[in-house]
Amino acid sequence: MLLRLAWRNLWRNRRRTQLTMAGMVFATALLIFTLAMYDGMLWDMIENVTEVMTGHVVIAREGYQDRPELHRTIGGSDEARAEIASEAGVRGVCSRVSAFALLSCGPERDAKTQPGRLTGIDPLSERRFGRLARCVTRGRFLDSASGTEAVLGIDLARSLGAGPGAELVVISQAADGSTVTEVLPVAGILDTGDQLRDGSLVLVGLETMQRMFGLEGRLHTLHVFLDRPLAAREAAAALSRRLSGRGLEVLPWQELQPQLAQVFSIWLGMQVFTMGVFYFGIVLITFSTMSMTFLERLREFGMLRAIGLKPRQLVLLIILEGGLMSSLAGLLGMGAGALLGWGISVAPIDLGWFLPPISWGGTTVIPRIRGVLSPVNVAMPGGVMMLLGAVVALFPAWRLFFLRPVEALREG
Amino acid sequence: MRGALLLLVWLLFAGGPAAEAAGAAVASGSPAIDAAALIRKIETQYQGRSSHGTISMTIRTSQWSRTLVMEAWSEGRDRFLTRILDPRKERGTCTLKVGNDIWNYFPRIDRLVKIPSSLMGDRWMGSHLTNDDLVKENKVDELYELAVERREGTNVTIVGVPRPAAAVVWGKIRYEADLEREVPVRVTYFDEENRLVRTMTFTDLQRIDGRWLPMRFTIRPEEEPDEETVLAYENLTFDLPLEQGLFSIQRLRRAP
Amino acid sequence: MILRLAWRNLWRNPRRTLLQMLAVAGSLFVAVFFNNLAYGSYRQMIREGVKAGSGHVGIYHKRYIEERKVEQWFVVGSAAVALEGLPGVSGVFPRLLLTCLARTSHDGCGAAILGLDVAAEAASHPLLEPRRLVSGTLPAGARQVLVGDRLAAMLRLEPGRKLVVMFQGADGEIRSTLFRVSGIVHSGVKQMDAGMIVADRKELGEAFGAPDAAHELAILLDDPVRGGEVRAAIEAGCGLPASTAAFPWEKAMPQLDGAIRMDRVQFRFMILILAMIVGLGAANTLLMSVVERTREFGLVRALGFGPAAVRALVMAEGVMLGLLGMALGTVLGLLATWHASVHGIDFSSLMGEAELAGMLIDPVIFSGWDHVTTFWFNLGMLAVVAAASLYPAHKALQIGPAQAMRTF
Repeated sequence: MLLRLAWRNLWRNRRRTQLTMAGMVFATALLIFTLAMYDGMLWDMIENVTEVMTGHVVIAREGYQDRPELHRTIGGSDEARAEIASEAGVRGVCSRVSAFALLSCGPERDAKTQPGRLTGIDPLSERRFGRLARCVTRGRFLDSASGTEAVLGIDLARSLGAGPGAELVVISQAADGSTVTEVLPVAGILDTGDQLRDGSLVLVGLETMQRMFGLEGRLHTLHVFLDRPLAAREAAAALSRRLSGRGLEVLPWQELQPQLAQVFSIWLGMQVFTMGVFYFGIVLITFSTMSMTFLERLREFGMLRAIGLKPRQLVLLIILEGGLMSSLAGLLGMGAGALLGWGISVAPIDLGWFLPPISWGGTTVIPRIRGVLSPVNVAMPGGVMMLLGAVVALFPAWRLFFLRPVEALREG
Repeated sequence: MRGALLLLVWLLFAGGPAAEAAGAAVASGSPAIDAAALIRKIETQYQGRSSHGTISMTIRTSQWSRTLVMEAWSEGRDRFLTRILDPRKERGTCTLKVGNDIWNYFPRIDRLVKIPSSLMGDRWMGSHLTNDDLVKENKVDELYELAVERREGTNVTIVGVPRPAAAVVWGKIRYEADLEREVPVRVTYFDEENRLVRTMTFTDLQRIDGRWLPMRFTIRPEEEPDEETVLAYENLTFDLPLEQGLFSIQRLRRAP
Repeated sequence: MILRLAWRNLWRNPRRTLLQMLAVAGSLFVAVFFNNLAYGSYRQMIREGVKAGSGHVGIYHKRYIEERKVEQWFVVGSAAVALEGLPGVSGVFPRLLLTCLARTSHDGCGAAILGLDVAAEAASHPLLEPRRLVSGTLPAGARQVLVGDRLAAMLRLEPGRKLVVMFQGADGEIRSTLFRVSGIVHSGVKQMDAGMIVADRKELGEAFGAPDAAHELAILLDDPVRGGEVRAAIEAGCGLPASTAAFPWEKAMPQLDGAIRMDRVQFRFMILILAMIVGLGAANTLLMSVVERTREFGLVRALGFGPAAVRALVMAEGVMLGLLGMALGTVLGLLATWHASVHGIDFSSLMGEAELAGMLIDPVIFSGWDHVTTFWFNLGMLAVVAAASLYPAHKALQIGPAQAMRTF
């Protein structure tokens, strides 16, 4: 009964209720939008580090990460890949073979020569699971794992004076000690945003690489892509257990990129701070508007008491009104915020004209506004708002508990 | 002449300890073994000479082993050329050293590549010699201060300590020579903590043109006891007239 | 008269007024204090960044910033003296940067070797700070160098050991030089620690084959604001080679510039949101107070107050409320700024060793005094409050006097 009364009270003065709620809805929606934006930046950073090259979990021979020597290989059978891919949470696996080589390009007289790192990939699975193919800025990505083309990192291409159509000379040493010499036409140039990587990266087909270096059937690394990148540690532990005893090392990206983990904690700190400021604002608004709403209706409440409403019931009524108002505001706010957040997740706003990409702790911050909605970040602000009303209503309710009908009726 | 081969080996592959010519200080109180004279004698015979021969290089690493057979020419101290004869896959691959520069030619892709400074530390053809070892000038008299450490019968041990400004990575080198036959026996390289880093041994002495020459030269790194590089000489000729322009990059393409 | 009325109206309901004031004060406090903190941190970052990087004004070969080619070196000559003589210049630091192969008897690896005047920069360059020196001493002639700690570990180097460095000389020939490690340094930036060697510029130049060569001439100013003047003076003529040009640090170090701008944009965005929330709250409150006082307004109108006066009354209430809040907030913000400017705030538990835009960030941040922005924030808040009062003021006129009096 009280509930119905509370509800009707709300709508008896439509404008007042709307006004009170407006601020609350706005603040909730804004918070949800901002959290989506922050998460978007965070995901940009994670993806830039992991999904372009490393993947979320990397499997290699023990000791390979410290000293990536040519002979430290792992078996490249399809069964092994299938085994890994069948693990829960795994989206896909990419195989790679790597070697250092001497690279040269251009007419001999003025040829630029420098060391680089050759990486053999399977273009199809890279396209499916990773983001390497999206980094191509000129020309195109590799077509097949057995093709003889190469794709160069942008800074390497600049140092060598190479572009699509140029011929890349590769000189290195195979697994049996013999000299490897190849001339590979350049199919495209890519920009991963990491200058160090782009200054030495050459992509070739996996099978071509295996043939060149005498490593048929062997791989150096398996890059596992997960559905949930943040669960990399658990996934790595599970894979490690499954593959134990084979002399393999299974590492999540957090261990391969410890500096990024630190960037994270800073970023999360900033997020917490922002949320703190927001909630402070929200509480402030809710408190001030609601207090006023109730305290201005003293006469009305006095009358209710005069006709027999018990103090306790009055308090409950207030709390219900507050709760209902904020619940409604919370729901509307969630809706609006989620909509805005979804908007910038499918259509990110590019700020590249204004800011350059910035290196931070091993990753690159991309200048754009992008949103990533997560259930927690939508539900929590909404939920807090919904509860807040009832909580905030306690203060005026407390005051009204001691209300003496006569005084109340006199005011106005 | 034989001095030429000796010096070829010493200068090119051993950082030139042999050539320490003039500056050799004989510190030991025993009857003067003039280290300087010993080496100068060898060196003067080498001045401006040429050589031609076949080298077979066997490399053993923890991962693989292989043998290369190369034809080699040298002229003076500055010029040096090898061309691979075997294995077939790499036949025609050349290494040309002129002064401080090294060039590699790969016939399979018809490409000439100059080795940049960043790769001078790389192993030459996968062996235990680096590109840098190949270009190390035999300015040993400028690079090391030499003293006789010990003498036992016909064997003498000379110690070389790098001069203050010399751009050598070693803390000390020690080489043992056979005085009677005037040939090196073993050269050892130490870091600044006096730890042995690599050993070069000269064996298989043969008498050519009235002189003794070691025809086999082994390099062994201390940290990888299973690994070694062995160079064995065959068919050596000295002081022969060499083709004009043999040691030029244009010439590399036209395989004989 | 209206003002006195407005004032008394405000205090008729002290609680409401105080609450609203608190909201305004709170947001202004946050805005002023954190902006000053951010301002201080930017200044710190710039100060550290220019000392290690391009200086407030950097002289480079015209295309060096994009291409970073070793061949783009120039001779410093008498220009250094001329530059030091310019008004406002507190330091002129030439630097030579080469890529090389660093070798010891055990191993070799690629590195970069930075030649600078150790004696002159010991007091200012971040890499030469005592707390960065892990072991040994600063280079003091005789071809001594500092080596990053990771590089030292890889090559098994310790103070006193030798290092042979090989690079392409000014004439294109490959040269080898012997250096000796005098000390090991830890910068905290991985790339530096794994790949940087610090040597004396003159000695490095000799080894390079061009004794007075430099890639960068970093000019530090007493007052960063005078960068433009100094650049103009340089263009006018300082004896620098024609191949060079003077660049402001924002162009020479675009990453640092971008990082600061990004941070600033984010912060301003947050303050904007906060202002909107507060403004809305103020509008809300004011509107409600107006709506409930319709009878009173009606009375006042009946007594002869014109519409303009009523509007002015409501706006005055709003603005006064705003001003009170702003004053309180700003004063608190400035107090907190003062404390943070003297004692600094230590963020190390949050940040640890953080690297941004290629340089190390000091976790202890000292507040600065950005009075200009504080003023604008206040003005902005005033505008927001005034705007928030518009609608309620308009609303107060809606109801005709007779009708108003009828409301009970």
